[in-house]
Amino acid sequence: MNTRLFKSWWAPATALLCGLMLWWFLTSPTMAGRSPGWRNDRFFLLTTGWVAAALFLVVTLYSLRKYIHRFRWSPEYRLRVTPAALEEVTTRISKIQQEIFAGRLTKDADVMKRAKSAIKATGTDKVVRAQILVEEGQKQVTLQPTEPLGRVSVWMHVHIYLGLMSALVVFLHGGLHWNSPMAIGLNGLCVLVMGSGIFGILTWAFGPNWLAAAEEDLSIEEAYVLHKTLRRQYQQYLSTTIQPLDGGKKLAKMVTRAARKLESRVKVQGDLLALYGQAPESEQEVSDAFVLARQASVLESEYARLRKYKWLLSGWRWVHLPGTIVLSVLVVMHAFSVWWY
Amino acid sequence: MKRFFEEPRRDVIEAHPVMAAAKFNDKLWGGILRNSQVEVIVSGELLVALGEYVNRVGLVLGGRLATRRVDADGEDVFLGHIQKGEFFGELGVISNLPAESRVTVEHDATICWLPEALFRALRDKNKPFKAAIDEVYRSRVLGLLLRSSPLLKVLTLDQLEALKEKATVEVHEHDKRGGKHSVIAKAGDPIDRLCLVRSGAIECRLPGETSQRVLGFFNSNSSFGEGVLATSEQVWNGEYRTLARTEMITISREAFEECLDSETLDMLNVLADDLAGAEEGRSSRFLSTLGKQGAERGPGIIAGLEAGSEPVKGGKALVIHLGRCTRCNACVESCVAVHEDGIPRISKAGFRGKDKEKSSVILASACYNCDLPDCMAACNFGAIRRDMTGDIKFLWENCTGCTLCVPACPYDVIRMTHPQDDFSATDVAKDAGVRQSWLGKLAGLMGKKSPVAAEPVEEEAAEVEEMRAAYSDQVVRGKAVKCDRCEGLPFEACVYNCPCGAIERRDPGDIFALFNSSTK
Repeated sequence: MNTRLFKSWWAPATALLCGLMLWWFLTSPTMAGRSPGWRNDRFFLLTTGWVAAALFLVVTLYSLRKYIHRFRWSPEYRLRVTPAALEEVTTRISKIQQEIFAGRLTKDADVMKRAKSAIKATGTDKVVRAQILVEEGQKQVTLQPTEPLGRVSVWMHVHIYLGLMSALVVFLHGGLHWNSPMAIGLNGLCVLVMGSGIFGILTWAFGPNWLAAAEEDLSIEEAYVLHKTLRRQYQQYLSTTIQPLDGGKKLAKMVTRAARKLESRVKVQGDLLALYGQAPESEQEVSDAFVLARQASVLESEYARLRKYKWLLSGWRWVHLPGTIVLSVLVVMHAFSVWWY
Repeated sequence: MKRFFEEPRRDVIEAHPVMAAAKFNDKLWGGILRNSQVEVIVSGELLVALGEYVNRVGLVLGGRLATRRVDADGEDVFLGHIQKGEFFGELGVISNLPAESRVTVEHDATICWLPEALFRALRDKNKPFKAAIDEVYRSRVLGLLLRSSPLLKVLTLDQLEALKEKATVEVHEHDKRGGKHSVIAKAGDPIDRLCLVRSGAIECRLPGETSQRVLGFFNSNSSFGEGVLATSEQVWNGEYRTLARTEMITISREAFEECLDSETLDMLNVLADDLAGAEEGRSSRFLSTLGKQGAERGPGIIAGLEAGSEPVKGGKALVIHLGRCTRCNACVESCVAVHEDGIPRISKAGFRGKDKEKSSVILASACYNCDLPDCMAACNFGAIRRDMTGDIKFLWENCTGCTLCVPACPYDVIRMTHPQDDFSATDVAKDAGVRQSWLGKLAGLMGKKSPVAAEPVEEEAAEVEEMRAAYSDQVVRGKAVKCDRCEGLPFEACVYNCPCGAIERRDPGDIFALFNSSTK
């Protein structure tokens, strides 16, 4: 199980916030999703509604963070510094390190102050930051990347925990009532998005180990590349060697079918004899094509087997993402209609 | 008949001043007469072809020869005449290198051919002969070699001629069996000479007896020590030592000052500052400071720490924990997005095994910045160097696309860019197992740059076009690329963009402890 997916200070923080929301709900004279009749009720519904919308926005930002980077839209790309500046800052940090060795710099605060000023002076402060490490009893000052937007794995923690919290808040807000088309749409989509998300968390927690265990001799990436390569080679062999033969097209079909069904070569030779009444002239070529087709088929079935795990790991997103997009539209419509009416 | 042989005669051969001055004994004369051949050749005949490995030395007994070579522009350049009484072919025999010029007969000539073994025996056993041959050799080789240094390319022929007189030949023997190497320069010492490697191989290691980290290899026709002419005093940044029998031409600072006028020297100072500044200079100053202050732990240890403790992101191997990896390809796609050429530097192929917790891990194919980099040793063009952050770097201006480094890498991490239009970056990415996500395809349809087929930014487009045009004749297959740890950016894309924290940098020591006998 991938425990890294859950280890975060967001877990206790979210638990605390959820506890507060529940405490408020239990101590106030209100019911989940009840229409506003009393003052308390209206305040509770509005508050939970806006909290749910805010959580929803933060949770969706995860996707933005993920794709902003891959499409080169991130402002971080504009922070790039030259190798010369990096070497300059490295040299300056080395001098600070040397003073640490010589015993002239002992306090962490002094080291950090000197390191920060060196980084600032070389104009690399947006790219690197200083960090003090103690290795084998020796204090060392090192440079680390600043990572301004934060790692996607941290954003994933936010996505998971605030997403789970939003499930509770949405329940307190809507009460899972199905008494109007909007309620059906919103609650239904919420259940769909939350359900697929929870399924996704579980598959991401356990699925990688299942896939790694299923990969016996070949990884899924190797299987993909190999089967594509062999398939291409086989098609090329068919078009250049087999098809020009007398009755080549029929031969090619037979070989492909036989290889797919994993029939033995003896069976194929038997079929060929039945077809032609004698061994074809280009027996060697047919035999080679059979071997290629057989290898391609074996790899294809191996890739298909591993792809099932891959589908398990990513297939839920086909429900989660479109559901989220439609839910976003409905949430905006819901907020607007509440304000309007 | 264009060529025919004659019987060698002692009186004819001895008439040549070098042979007369050598005063060979009768035994050696017997060997010469038994083993040499005298050939009469008519004009126009080719005696030595460019690039040919010669195994004999010619002594011109009569007539005249011409030497030519083809320069970089394809022009046939006349180098000079070889007159009666002069030798030729000794450069190839002494250095075991292919001929660097073409020799043809200009006027009907008579040549006395001395086989390699005989020539070597005469050179070894007779001091006057050796001195005379070495003088000829030094004079000729210098002319060819001096231009190999970027520092000297700006000098005129007259200035080079003057420098030739002051240059010295250093031959460093190497006992391969005993593993003994000659130390050419010690780390921390002031740079006292410019070194041009004629033949052999030199490595530059970080100082310290225990250090295994190689900063650079220097093969034939490469040079080092350009800092000798820098305005401020420079020191050797590592220990330079031989890997094989090495022959170098060296020029001291004093020689430069004697031979060149002040204006030229100023120009060379600027060039030397520039050459030494980027890599060697800074590290040299760093070591120089260490040397002066006499740090107790010594420069070697500190420099080792400097290079080995990943000052920015480096020095650590990339590990993918398969128990966490959902195979979403975010690492590969973000790597593609970072690099303008659209070639991913990371591939999820590599050594697989179980870690201490018995979960599967894979050592991703990204550069390990090896202590002894085989790619650097394989490169004949000085295009692979280590910088002071410990990273192995490719100098693209030196890379000829020869692909020698690709098979040399034991981890299969080097790839070639393909500037030709018929092989797009997308194909390479697909080969690496990158498959575009549906959002990527959507962005492509919307006219946005897809992460896999990332195109260069606008200002570099012209440069890339120029590069593509230059490579259109397909003489080279592109340039070598490898993981550069997203140099200059505030993140390492693959680690930064993994949603599951499945990929991380680990200390190489940990990695090797990590893998046990269960490694597949």
